[in-house]
Amino acid sequence: MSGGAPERRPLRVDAATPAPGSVRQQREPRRSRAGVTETLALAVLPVAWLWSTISVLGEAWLWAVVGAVATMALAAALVRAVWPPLVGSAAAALVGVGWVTVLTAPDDALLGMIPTPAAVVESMAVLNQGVLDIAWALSTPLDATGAVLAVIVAAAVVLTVMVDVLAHGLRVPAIAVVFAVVPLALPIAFRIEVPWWHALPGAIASAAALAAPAIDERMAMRRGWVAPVALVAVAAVLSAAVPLVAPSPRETDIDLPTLEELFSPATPMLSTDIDLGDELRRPADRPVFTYSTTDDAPIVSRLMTLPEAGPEGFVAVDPEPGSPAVLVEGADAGVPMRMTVRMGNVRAESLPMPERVAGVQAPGGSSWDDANDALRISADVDTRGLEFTASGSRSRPLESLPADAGSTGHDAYLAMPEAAATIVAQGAALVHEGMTAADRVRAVHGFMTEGLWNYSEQLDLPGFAGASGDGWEALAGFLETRSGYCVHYASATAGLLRGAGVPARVVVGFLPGSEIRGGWAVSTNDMHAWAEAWVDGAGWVRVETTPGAGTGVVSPEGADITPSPTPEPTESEPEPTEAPSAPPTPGATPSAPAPSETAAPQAPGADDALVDPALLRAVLIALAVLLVLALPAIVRAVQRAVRLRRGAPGGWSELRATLADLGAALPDSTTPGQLQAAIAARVEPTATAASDRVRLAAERAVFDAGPREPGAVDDDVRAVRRALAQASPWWRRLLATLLPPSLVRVIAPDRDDDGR
Amino acid sequence: MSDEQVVGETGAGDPSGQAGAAGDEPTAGERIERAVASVISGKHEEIRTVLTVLLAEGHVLLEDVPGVGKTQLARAFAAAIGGTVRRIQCTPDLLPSDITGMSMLDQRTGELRFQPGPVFANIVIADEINRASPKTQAALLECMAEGQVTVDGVTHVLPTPFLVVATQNPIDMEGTYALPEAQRDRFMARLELGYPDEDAEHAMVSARETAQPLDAVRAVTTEEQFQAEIDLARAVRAHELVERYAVRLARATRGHTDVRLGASPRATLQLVRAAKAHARLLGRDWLSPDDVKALAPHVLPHHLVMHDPHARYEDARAVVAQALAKTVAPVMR
Repeated sequence: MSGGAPERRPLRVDAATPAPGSVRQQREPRRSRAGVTETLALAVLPVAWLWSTISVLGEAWLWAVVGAVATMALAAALVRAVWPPLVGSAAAALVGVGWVTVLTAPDDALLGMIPTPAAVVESMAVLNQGVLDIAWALSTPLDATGAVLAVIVAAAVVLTVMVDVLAHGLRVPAIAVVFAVVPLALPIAFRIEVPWWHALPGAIASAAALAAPAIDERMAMRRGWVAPVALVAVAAVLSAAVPLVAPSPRETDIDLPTLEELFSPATPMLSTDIDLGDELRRPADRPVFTYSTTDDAPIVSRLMTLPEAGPEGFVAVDPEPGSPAVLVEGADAGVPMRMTVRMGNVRAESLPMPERVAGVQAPGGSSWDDANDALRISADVDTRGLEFTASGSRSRPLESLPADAGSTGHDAYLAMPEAAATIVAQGAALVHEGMTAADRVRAVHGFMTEGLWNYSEQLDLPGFAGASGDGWEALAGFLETRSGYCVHYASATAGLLRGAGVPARVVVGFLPGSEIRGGWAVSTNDMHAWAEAWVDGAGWVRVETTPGAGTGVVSPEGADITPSPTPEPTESEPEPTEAPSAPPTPGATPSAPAPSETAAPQAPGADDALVDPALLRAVLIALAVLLVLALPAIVRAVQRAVRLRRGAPGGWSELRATLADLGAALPDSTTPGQLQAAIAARVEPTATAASDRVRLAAERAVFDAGPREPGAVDDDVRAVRRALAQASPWWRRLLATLLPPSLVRVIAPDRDDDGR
Repeated sequence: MSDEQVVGETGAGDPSGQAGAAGDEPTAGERIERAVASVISGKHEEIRTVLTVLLAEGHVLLEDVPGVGKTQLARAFAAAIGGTVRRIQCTPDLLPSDITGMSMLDQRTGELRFQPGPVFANIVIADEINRASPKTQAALLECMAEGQVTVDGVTHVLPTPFLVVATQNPIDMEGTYALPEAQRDRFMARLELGYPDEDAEHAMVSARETAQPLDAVRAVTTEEQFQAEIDLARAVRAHELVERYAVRLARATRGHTDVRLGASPRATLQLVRAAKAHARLLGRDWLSPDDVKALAPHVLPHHLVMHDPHARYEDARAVVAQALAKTVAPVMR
């Protein structure tokens, strides 16, 4: 009978029952100590981030640092097992001091590693030396030995102690992760670009450290660790992939069309204004055109000529249609050559020509502007892929200008506004009566090139070529500071030339560009401006004064032409992937860039076998987008496979997750029977029976130590999943595929009403 | 004040019992359920609950307005289960000795001989228990708790199984003594029958025109068979996860703001035992969280004491429902 048993058992329950009153007793208190996974991840963290400095520090330090960090982490973990966490950090610090002492002052220390006062002094001296060695390094990566190695190990020790105190002592692991990134500052301080994969170990270790507490907690609860890891992985991939797909405006070359552009040709418009700063400062290069030449040498190309010295600088004048026999005067004076141009997806008011163009097979819609020496193209002509050939010649070197010639017949090019009086006076001071035109040009060129001149795109002269202010005074300022970019050099040179009595003007165009197969590619970074001087017998002669743009540009071979005026050495290295890139003509099938009637610039292979970089980028971005889109489904599939490997209970969890995917997340108070009822309410009786079999097997496995054979319920689970999907509207199914809600939440939040 | 039901034995091959199950022998539980359902129409859940509690060796308190079939239900169970059945009609002048029995002088031997009272039966129906005096209530409830009766210093063990089905009427307040909390605690479940729905009531009316259906109920198990069933129910295996779930449920009622006294550990114990009987009735020999969840609304509410003295039974049920909705069920992984 029920005599004794009910009396004994309440005692046991009583003992385990605290006083009533606390409402939420089910939740476990937050774990106050790091678990195994977290400890490991945090131990790896300093080394992983130090790895991001290998471009500065090399790799020789790795094993020393690994040894130091590992022993410190081990010591900390052992001590922490007995004493409070901060004592563990102290133990780690002691071990770290030992390491540093061994590396710096083993002779003065007890047993080589216990610092004495003398050893401390010696250590400080060595570390000081090491810091100096790093700071004054002549080249990177450094040789990480001796004092430098000691400094690196000391840094690793400090980093490890800091991470240990933050993560274990104060239990703020996320903040520890933030501080661990500090080593990345070193290559930045050295102005060395860090390849992204140098930071990869650190990023992975950080993600692992962030995911680790959840993993530990769930493993302690005997729940799967896949979900937190998957979440962190998805977040990491997304945070890496999103900048690819949606980059910040400064870093992208994806021009989002403005409203205006949506209703007009989307081809970007190049400014032929005197202020090229905006073009040159474009965050990413934009291909403008490709060309080939008959003499296989690169050539500077002219886009627009600015003949008039306006109140604020050189400007173009109103177009004046005309078709002279020789387009740019003096072009027939040099060695003739031909240039075949193929336009990219960028347009300007005019088309690029050889710098001294003699004649052109004018494409439809174009007309010669005799006032500005430019081949104007009307706005309604699509220049994308446009191909044309022009003949002309290269400028002569200044040294070979005709000795006795004057500069006559171009007095219009001598006028200067009142505001430019300073420059005119400066120009006049450079020459004296009786000098020939060639001497005058060389004098001005010498003034502009001898001594220290600095190239800078970044420092806009205030007011120069801007919307406000006096441009000429600003230009005089430039001659004081001697720092500016091509526009300043060209304007100043032209101004000085006019002051020196030589007719001069400014030309806006392109540097020769970078070599590709069968020709050269010119981009917005190659935009350039230079001065032209008129010398009788030689015609318009280029006077190149911009540093880096190559004063020797006029040599016929063009051998010493620097491809780009950009001063940064990193950018001037042509990247191997970019070199073979073809003109950016989307949808262009490989076609011979050189038409048969032109004197065949050898460029038959320019287009074939080349992938259009824009197309490639579009495909890559599309692939990335697809991958990002497919990622949740992939994670979900992996999760499903992992679950099903746990047998029936996993299958049951999977069914619950499926239900959550389809928008019916159930609260955590849901018992298997309620879940079964929810499934039965949606599907056919056959599927209901299948899910009932899964439930029974799962319950037996969990609550009665029943069998857990993987695969036993797979078919039933599949059938129920299919039935559930069929019972849902199409948009639910789509959502469940693209963004399965169960990845984030299988459990609905608590309900406060009656649960049934 | 007590009447004895005629107990008849029927074989296992009851024709009504075989009708439903295809080939399978219906279990004792199913046979009892069907027999009772033939008398009380349309109250399947209540019948199932009472049967579950009886299988868990618990006592049932049926509470409702007069005339909804409380006594009928109790008698139907008594008739279907078999064994000895006694019925106590409680009145204010009922004495403790009237139910426990008393020692009487045997004229022939000259010795005091114990004359067992109506509690010495397998099933005891205590009608209108709240009309008995507190003293008598205490005596009955002591029997229920102890499973034995002590008269004149001699302890007499009650037969097994020993099941009490008490009824009480919440409307008649005059001349009644409401059961104190401590004694309510001894019942495993408290049920309200409620009115039958239209069809069920009509079926009852038409059936009663011809005969008293209670007379047709034959015992479908023997005392031993029922005891065996009880033993099987007790042998149901309970996993720690499910036991902890029951404990969490009980603790959740204790934390509720409206509740002065939550479910006692005894209530937790009763919940697990009732859940085990539920699992047994469903043919399982292991406990599922669903068993616990199914029984909690019947087993827990009457143990709760609310802050509000005018709180009704429904309020306690709402507290239990909230506890069910908030308590994390064991997760199957």
